[in-house]
Amino acid sequence: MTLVQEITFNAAHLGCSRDEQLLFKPLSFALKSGEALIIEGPNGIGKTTLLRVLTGLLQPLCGQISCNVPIKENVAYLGPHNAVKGLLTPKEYLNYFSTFDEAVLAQLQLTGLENKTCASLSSGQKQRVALARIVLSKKPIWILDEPMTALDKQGEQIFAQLLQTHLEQKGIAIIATHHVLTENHFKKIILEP
Amino acid sequence: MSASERRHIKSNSGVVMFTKQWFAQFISPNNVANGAAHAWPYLLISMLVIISIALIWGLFYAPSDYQQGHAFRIIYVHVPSAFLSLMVYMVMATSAASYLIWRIKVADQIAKASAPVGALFTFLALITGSIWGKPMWGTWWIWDARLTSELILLFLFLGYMTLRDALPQKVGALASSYLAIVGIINIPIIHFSVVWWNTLHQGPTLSRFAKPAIDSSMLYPLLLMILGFILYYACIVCLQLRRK
Amino acid sequence: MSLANLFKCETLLLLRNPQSWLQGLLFFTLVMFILSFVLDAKAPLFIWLAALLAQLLAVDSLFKQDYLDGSLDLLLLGESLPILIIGKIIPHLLFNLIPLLVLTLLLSMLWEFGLHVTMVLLATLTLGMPILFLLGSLGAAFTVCVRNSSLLTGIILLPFYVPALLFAASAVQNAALGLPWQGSMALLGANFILMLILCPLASAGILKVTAG
Repeated sequence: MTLVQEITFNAAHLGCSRDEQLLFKPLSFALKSGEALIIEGPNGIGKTTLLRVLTGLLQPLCGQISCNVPIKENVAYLGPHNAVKGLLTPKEYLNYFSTFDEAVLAQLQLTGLENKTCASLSSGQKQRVALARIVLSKKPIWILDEPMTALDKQGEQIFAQLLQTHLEQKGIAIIATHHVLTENHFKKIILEP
Repeated sequence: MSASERRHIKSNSGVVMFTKQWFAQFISPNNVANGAAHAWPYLLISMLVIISIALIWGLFYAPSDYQQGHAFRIIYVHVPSAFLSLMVYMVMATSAASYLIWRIKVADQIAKASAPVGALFTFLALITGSIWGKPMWGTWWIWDARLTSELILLFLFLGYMTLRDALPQKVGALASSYLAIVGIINIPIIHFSVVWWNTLHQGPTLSRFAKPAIDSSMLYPLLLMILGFILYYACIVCLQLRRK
Repeated sequence: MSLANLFKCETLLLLRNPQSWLQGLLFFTLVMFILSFVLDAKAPLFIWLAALLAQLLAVDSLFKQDYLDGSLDLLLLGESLPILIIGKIIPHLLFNLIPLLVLTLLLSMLWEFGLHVTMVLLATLTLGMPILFLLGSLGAAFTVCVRNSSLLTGIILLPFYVPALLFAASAVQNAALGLPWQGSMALLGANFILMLILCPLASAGILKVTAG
């Protein structure tokens, strides 16, 4: 699906807090459609908190986020827990949360597993179901927290392909990860205390 | 825009800024902590003095009631603690609202300090009321409007404290402030319960516009006890506000 | 996630994991058993009491599982959180209420309350349980990130349950004594409408704070 509108996502001097303590040095960035931002940093520095602030779930301690479309309606968020319901099958889960599309499941190599309950899948397979939800939500802004957890080498390649397709369709992605994404043209921010 | 309009707007904003800064000094945590550290000994001493006077007056010198005899003297503990339980909840709820709306940290500290004191006063009111009720009405407890709503108040205070403890710092402060505000509906219910419903509890003794339904010789020690309890509450809050 | 999807998803989850609502019903049955056999007390009011306690168990699981697996964040990011909360409450309410009404009917036939009292009792339960569930969502929103929160939820909610309990109890007792019960029922209805408007809004605000 080609998104028509150009999206700009900017942060100016953004700082996040946990219990009133500033977690990392305030950061700024400017993203346009088709760009991706990788966020790196040591454990506990606040990558998850930063991503939650960017989605609008938390308020920042200082600074501003600006986006030319309303963020909440246009974001697909993958949090530290992958929000996969163990009692549902992938088919039901994707039906309820977005739409069910055989092709995407095939791309993520989940064919044949649509009718097994998610609790019986391995953690890598659950992660792929979560990624399917992100892809199928058709939202232009992806905010992903460690999306490649538990994925094998093949899964990582598939994720890279999905990301590439998303960016080609004028999407924006903000990803916190310590895995290496081979594209060098992604913008990178390293959080410092 | 003419020059006089521009001047007018400029001086107005100056006045506003000046007022804000003047007010801000009262709610800055540093100033409040210093003020509290200085104030609490005076509050403690005046509280002890006033409560001693009030108790001695009420217990030994006030005339005994023609119906209840000496047993009525428990009024000097029961009514002030009940009065304070409502007052402390109002202070707690307004501080919680100030914290939620304007993020004034001192307001949150006041609310946090008020909760245990309020629970104590509510508990005291219920216990003394129960002790008073046994010889007067023949029962330790009855589920009428006033007693039930006062018991609910105790649960509200306890709920505030346990919720605050159970959640991490800032989330706990915000969530318990919401709880305090939601529970404010209980206060008019308690206060007017004896007017709205037929209860076993007697009607209001102290009312703002009518002459009190109690003789002056018994009234003054009662008012002094209320003042003493207020000083106790202020002293406890100051003690809590000292540490940042 | 749209409202209709949420509704269907919750229903499916409740069907596949009946523990959350069966637990409440089992508790209800146990309490009635003990009250009737051991204490030989067969008043209609005890049915209300047992329903209240059972419901306290049931509301705890309203948001807990969603918080633990991360789907609460998706709800928070959806449109109109208060409406979504209502959509979440309704399946839980129906799964708890309908068996409860059936059990109440059976018990009232067993203990011969009479048609009049039974009708009033069922009506108060039908109006009252939604109130308790709406308030329960408020309590669940407060304690969503606390483990083992049933006691805390109970302490927080008890003050707010009292008016509904009072109105329902007076309606049932008046019906049993042959006195007019319509006034209390009207008050119960008013309480329901007030809670229907206020509770989802309040729960939404609180969830944004505690689960954000």
